[in-house]
Amino acid sequence: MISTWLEPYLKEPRSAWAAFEPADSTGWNRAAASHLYRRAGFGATPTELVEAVRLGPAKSVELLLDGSAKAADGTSAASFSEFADRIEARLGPDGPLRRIQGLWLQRMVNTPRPALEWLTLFWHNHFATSDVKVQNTGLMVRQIATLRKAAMGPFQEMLNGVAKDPAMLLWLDAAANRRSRPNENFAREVMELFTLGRGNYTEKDIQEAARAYTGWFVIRDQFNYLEQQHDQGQKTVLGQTGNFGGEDIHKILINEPASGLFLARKMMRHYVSETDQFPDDLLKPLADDFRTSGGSIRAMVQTILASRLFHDKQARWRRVKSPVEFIVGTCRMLGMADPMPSPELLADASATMGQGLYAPPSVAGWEGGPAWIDTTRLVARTNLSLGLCSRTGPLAGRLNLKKWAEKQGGKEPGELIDLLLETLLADATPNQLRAELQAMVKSFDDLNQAVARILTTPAYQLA
Amino acid sequence: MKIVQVRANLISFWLVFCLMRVINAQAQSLSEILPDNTPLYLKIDKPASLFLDEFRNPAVLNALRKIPGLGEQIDNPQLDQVKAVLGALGSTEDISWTELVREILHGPAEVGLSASPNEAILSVVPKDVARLTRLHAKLIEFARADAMNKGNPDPIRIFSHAGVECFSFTPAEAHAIAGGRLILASSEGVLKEALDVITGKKQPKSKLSQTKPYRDAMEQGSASTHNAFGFARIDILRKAGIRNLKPLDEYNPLAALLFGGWVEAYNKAGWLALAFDLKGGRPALEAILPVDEKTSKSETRQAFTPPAGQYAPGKLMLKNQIGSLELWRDLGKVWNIRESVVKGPALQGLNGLDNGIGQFFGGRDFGTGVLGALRPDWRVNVTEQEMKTLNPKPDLVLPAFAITVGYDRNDRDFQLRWVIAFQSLIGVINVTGAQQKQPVLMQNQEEFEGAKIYTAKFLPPAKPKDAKDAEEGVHIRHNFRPTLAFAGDHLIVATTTEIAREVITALGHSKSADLPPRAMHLDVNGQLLGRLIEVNRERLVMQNMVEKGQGRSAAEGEIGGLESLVRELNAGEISVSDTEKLFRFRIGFDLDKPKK
Repeated sequence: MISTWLEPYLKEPRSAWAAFEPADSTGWNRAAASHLYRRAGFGATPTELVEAVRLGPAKSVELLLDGSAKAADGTSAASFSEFADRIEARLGPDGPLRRIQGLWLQRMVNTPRPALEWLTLFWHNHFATSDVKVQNTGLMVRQIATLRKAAMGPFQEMLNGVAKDPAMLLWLDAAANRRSRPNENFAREVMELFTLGRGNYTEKDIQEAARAYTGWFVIRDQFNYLEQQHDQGQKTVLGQTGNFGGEDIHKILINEPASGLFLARKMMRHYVSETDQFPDDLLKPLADDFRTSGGSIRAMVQTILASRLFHDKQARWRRVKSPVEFIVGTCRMLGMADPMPSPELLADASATMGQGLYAPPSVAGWEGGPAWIDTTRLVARTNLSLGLCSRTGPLAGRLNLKKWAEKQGGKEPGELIDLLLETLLADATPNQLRAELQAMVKSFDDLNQAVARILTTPAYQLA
Repeated sequence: MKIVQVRANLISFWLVFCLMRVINAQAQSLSEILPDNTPLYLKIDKPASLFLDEFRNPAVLNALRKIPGLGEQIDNPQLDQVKAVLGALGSTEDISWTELVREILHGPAEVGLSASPNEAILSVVPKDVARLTRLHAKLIEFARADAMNKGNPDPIRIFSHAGVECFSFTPAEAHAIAGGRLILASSEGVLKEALDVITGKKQPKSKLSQTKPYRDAMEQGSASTHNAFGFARIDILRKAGIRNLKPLDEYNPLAALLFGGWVEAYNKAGWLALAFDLKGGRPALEAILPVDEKTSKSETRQAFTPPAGQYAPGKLMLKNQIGSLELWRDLGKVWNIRESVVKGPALQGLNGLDNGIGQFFGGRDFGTGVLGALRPDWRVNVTEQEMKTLNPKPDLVLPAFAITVGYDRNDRDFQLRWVIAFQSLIGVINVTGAQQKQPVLMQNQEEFEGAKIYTAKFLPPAKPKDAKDAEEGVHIRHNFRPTLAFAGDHLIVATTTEIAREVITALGHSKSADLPPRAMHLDVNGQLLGRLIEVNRERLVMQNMVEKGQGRSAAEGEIGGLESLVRELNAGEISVSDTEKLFRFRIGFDLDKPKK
């Protein structure tokens, strides 16, 4: 069933993807900028909101995708990225899972490129691989590094990288693919889960593609191509015939119209709504552009984020925040970055809330949407919120609203309530809550309690 | 003439009497004034010399600056303001601020504290009482002038007691100059009580100096030879509810097995003496606890205390030694009284170990057949691993450890039992490792300087094709090359073959340093420890970031600070002397020792 707010766009699907051009200042204000940052960069600080309003929607999208010159800890973007890569790579194969989870959370909170991490998280869910089976934290870190590197590039490069990723091949029991016995696991998943979706290929296509991947092995945690094990014969996949290797298969898959639609639908779930149905007709222009752009991921993301449909007021507050989104967004928006609460404890909390990084439940990834909220998980969210705002306890001590207020020009506690609500809830703030908080807060000491109240509202669970 | 003679004699007698009173008053220690139930007492013989000379030694200052939180205090600009005020006060007597401090804190300085109610009294003997009196008058004058300039009321309250003029700036402070000293008290009442004794107005009902614990502590601690000496009545403080001094009931089971007798001494001790020294850049703190007769006869103390004439073994000198521990410990005896020192689930775990682990040693009883076969002379040596031996280089470079202990050579199958245990352990690791797709250990055997060595080594991992040589280390397990060796009547269990060889050479050449008789001795080379931190700096920074949530620069600062601190502390040592009647613990650093 198509949601009513999407119906106008169905009449002229191209119009949905046209660049959003606000008619006046009410069309592009802090609430609109907050929507963009929530959906594409975990959330915005008050300073980022001011800057976004000044730049306008198109330039704000570009700034988000390109990232800032400096990270939250003051280092340059290049230096931040180089250091984060280096310390992650140092962990080795037997590092504790919570350590690599904590390191990624730390990167997400402090990164000058939140949109890149948000997109990397999308790919982690798309190419869902779990350390619970791979049992090698070093390989898991390398896989995420591969996803991050290719996150905005041509989809072909992403597929090539993932297909040769040892963690992925171990995860899909495809660590050995011999000419005499082609392993169909990877070929099946690449079509079903990564590119086309069910119904867009045949069993024969899988069998033939599997032959193209023969000779691909993981030996002692490394990808190896053993030429003598590769099937050099002709293969016919999706109507095309040739002596294909694995990378040729990827080219064929990306040129299929179904792959653009498949990816566009998943992107829309990630950026717009996990509950709304997006019909093929609506997505077709996105898919067409994707194919003509040579499979450019960045182009597709940029089109979505700058589109009229994305900036439709009806598109706001339609997603349930994932646990990682909840944690990272809260830390970023409230200035809990340097220092931040213990990343390892946050990783534990995220797992309790249902999203253990590097450990999705299956090849299909996390279910997401309303599934993030059940009785147990909601209690875990509440506990985390109270822990972050508490004066004592292992997560306490990082929320410094006095310092946060100083950054915003040294506001009084009463004024800060409005700023906190604008930052955390924007146009979803219930009037009753504002009045309640104004009555509650008499001094800076009361502000932590007010933040705990905001974080536990139903509205804050949405993005 | 006779009358004149008698008068002259009387005058002489009176003068001598007065002089005696003055001398007596000056010699009177605060411990003669404090009551016998005073729980805390501290004496610094020459405070000016301690603060102005020993603490201002560049090596000491550098080390203090590296202690988190203290460095800022040392270089606090407010200290300059204090110096300026002292300078201004000193200028009234034509002396500098340091001369002023030397005048006032000539010494001794003594402090007495009571826990309930919380009261304190400080006594400082100046070099020249007359000058102190003048300086004090000047200080009062300054304070009054300052208050007047600011339009504030007179800040000083002056009152008289026992014929002495007393002063008070706040209700929590009162002071006077009497008996050749400055007396500073936490309340008017405490000051008055002290003045009553000093002026002879009242005789004290009891004196701290006359109590046995105080006299014992003074004697055992050789109080007069230290820069500072403290005395605490643990029994009184515990009764007053000081939580930090509670007896230790439950603690780490391993610590209990190693140090249970020492904890017993602490738990039963009535007093504690602390001696502090800072002579020539060598800070040292010694704690002394008495052991009463009943405690010394307890099962725990009997098992842990070395019999007369037995001590920890001599120290082995190894190349690049980060630290070494020498310990007298009869583990067989300790194991047999484990119920006395370990409780709850930990004890159940040890009992389970007792039942099962003997199987690895040819079916021997663990207490008698395994631990009981070892002599009480234990050595632990820790050395820096040479980079050239680390191929491949682990991501986190750990030091090498070796445990050396003597055994009875007449126990003919001792070696066999340990070899079986070693091979069994390697077998278990290999089976488990193979099941979990982990690298396994390759075993080997060699002879070195007449000693048998049994070794094991992990197969090096494949190098990732895209690995950056300088950055990506291999797993931490590649620090370990488990080794078992027998050298003469010594068993050596080591984490690397290289350190086992070094121990064998040192044992063979008697390369051990003579140490004073101690139950335990530990020393650490801060330079090498600092180098170890430096080698692993990035890994430690990462750990700090992900555990504490600090940003990169804060984490780097903390790890860098730790490295600087251990380097400045340079050479540290801890020693324990444990006898039937006394337990001594000493920790010291040599900040000035050549750094290498």
